[in-house]
Amino acid sequence: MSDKVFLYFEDDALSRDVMQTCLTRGLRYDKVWIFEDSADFENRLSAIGAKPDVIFLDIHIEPLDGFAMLKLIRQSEKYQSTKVVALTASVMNEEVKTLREAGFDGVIAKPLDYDSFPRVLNRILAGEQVWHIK
Amino acid sequence: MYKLLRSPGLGIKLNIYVLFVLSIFLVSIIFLLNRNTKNLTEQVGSERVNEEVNILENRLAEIEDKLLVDINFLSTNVHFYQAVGRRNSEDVAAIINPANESLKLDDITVVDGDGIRLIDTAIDQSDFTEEDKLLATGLIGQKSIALLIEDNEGQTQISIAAVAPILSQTGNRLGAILMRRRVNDQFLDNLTFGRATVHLGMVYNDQIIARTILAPSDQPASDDMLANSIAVNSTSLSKAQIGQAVILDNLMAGIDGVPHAVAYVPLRAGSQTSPVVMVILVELEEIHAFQNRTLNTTVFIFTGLTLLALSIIYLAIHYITIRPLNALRSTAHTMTSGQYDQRVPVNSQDEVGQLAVAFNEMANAIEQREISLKEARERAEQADRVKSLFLASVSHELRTPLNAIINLTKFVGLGMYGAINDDQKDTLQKVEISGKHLLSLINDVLDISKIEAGSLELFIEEGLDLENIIQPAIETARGLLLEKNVTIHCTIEPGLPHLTGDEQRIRQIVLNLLSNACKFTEQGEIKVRASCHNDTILITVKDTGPGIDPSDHETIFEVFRQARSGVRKAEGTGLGLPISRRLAEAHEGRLWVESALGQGATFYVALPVQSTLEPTL
Repeated sequence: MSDKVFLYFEDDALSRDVMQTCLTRGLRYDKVWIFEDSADFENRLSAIGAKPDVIFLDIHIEPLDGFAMLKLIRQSEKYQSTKVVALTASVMNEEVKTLREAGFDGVIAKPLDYDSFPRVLNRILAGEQVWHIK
Repeated sequence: MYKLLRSPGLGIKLNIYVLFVLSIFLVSIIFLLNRNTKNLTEQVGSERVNEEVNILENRLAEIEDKLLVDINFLSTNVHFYQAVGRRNSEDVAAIINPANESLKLDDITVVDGDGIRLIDTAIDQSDFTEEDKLLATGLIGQKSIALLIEDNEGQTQISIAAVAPILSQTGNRLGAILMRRRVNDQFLDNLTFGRATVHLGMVYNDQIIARTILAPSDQPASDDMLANSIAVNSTSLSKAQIGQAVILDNLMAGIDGVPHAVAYVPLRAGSQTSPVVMVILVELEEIHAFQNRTLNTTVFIFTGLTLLALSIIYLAIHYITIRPLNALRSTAHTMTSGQYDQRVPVNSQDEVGQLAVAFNEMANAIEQREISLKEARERAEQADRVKSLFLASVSHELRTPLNAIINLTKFVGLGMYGAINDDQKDTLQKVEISGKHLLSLINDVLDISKIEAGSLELFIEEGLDLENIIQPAIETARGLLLEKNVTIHCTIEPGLPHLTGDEQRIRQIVLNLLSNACKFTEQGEIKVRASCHNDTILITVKDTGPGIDPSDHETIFEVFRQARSGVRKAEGTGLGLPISRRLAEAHEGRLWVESALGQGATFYVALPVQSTLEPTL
């Protein structure tokens, strides 16, 4: 359907399954890379070759958390146009504020709302920031 | 100064009391001193005036004796009585005049046997009646001494006179001789030997005839002590006039308060009494000076001692009481300002020291309490932090599995993992709805926890469009009415002003009201309306459900409560309305209901267009 490239870092196996199914079977994207930890993050990122359009980051992940990974991504010229979206189950507004200040392009709440997810994803791909978490 | 007197310090107050007491002492001492010295003065005065009366009487007697001796000496002189016998005035004068040079008498008068004056040395005499009477007694051979009271040119003149017959060798009476001393100012001065402390006055017919120099002309008449004395002592004067000497008991105060002892003595000549009274005033200057000196010394010493006592009391009070009290006060101030580790030094075992000990004990208790309070507060704050962390953690931990439950169920139900039959699809939808319901319960519990803890934070944005808020909520609500014969009508007034607030939260309010309406309405319609009245956005959700009894209009907004009429239908936590109302209030708005049983219910949300909310970012 599209050649958009998606990356997802998530330590919870079921959450990885949900995103995998959602993007590939549901939205018919086929360039989807999903990682279960953030070890050797930069090398694995560059090993993909293609420039990712959207990187989904779980915030609570080892060894680098979402903020550290964001920092590394933003440091690289290569990923200037890549959207970085946080996926979090912690939905306090104060955390959203922190994410926004850290430089994320948006936040998507867990549990994922499959009905609204395509719309949200399109808005992100269109360059819009998405902060409404529910 | 006025302020100092109005609210004086302890030291000054006490000193005023001490000064008052010592002043009473001083007045008492002066009073006693005066009384005692007055008795002494009276005693001394009485002795002095007695002494003086004796001296004066002796002196008068001397003068009389001398007159008699002189008159005897002259009348027995041969040349003199021969000259008188010859009735030769010139010869008589030649003897009398030189003699009077040394005798210094006021008058020597000599008459011949027929009473014709051969010489009269007093040239200022105008009335000779009394003199002639006395000379007549001399001519008949009597030798005597007498007091002459005469009117000399309008002035009463008193004299002590001696008369003697002039006899020849053979005893023939040739004439008579009279010698007199006038009792005038000078005479009185002589009587006192010119002593300034003794004053004499000669009184006849209540008039002062002669006096020692006592009332200088430049002093007012009221200061004339002689005149004052006879004015107030008429009884004593009368007694003296009939020959009785009187020494007054009371001293008389003179100018400058000098006391005088007073005596009234009748003036005698020979054995004769007379109505002439001699007033004797003895100035008690020395004793007065002594009295004053004593008084001054007493006052001086007493004042000095008083000042010393005041200083000692002030210093003692300062060190014993005021300084510790000031320390207490400043420590109390310090403690009031929140420094509880301050203590006062305990320097004594007296009441002030005990007060300091008690104060320190109180300070200890307060400090302990403060520490406990602080600890309790810290524990409470710690507990709050733990609670927040716990909530965040619970939220995270519950949402993560729900992510899989809801979405994987949905994916299977949508046939993404292969074809399923309708029964399976229905069942999976029920699982999904249950999962979503569980999620909404979790969200509600989290919301109410945050609201109760006061930690609800809004994500404020400007320029919110009500259409964007309400429409998604209506879409969601329509999903709840799929099996019911209920329709939703929505009217949003065109041109509504944009709102400032948390879009998600406002939508949550609307969705809560809508899902309640959907839940309780079996048939009919639900009307949603948004309008603007006087800078207030009003959103109403009106249903045709069973309605709510007015007695339940407030209970439904309480946490974990549902109206009795709705209990059976209750599927939620009962938190939707309390949360919605709190959210509206967090937007500086209001949420209320108008309803009656069987009439449906209308919920109102009023939000101000202008609020004090600031955008979060």
